[in-house]
Amino acid sequence: MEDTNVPNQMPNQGQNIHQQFSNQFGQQQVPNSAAVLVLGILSIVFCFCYGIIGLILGIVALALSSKALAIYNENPNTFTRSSYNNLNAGKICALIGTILSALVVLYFVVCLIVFGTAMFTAASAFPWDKYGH
Amino acid sequence: MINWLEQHLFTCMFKSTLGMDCPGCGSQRALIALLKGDLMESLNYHAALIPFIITISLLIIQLVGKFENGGKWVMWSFIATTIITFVQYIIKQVAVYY
Repeated sequence: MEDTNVPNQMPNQGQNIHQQFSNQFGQQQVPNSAAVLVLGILSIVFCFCYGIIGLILGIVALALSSKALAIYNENPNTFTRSSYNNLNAGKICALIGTILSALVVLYFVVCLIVFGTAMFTAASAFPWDKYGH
Repeated sequence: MINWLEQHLFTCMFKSTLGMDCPGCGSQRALIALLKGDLMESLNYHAALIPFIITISLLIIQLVGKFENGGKWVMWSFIATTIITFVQYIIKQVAVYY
């Protein structure tokens, strides 16, 4: 009988016991946690061929994840632990993918600049004078 | 289906513009070798394809089953795949020059 009275008389303690039983996390999924994980992994798949796509996917994933983390931090105890872990894992994957994609894009730009200047110097070293009138 | 895959390979952007291999090169051939059942050939073409398939499988299992620490498994296998990708890329480039 005392046990059934506990939730009524000491509601805070009852809620604490309930949270302990459910690993101190609630039942809601952090919004977009699955999307962040999937986008983070896709950002590296597409980071080599067409480095731009990986960059876009990675940035989208990072933006989603920071928004989702802000939502999570308002109410930490109302979300499931697995979705929170998904969010963190996805954020790290997206970070790796974005950095790699940015490096690929940078590499392309540098190569194009180097290639472009090489073409320019070769073209200006060409003896155009001999071919004038 | 394998013949269709063999005839419709993507061209790698690295190879067509810069003439050199990208870290993903060989993954399509590796996939075809795997579909034919040849594990060693698949690893020879692109050592990280099988870890990548493991990562995707873990991802699907995690999305469906929603395990508590499943996200960490996905992340670590993703990191392992990335590391293997770059290591095999460096080994391939070095092997060409020596």
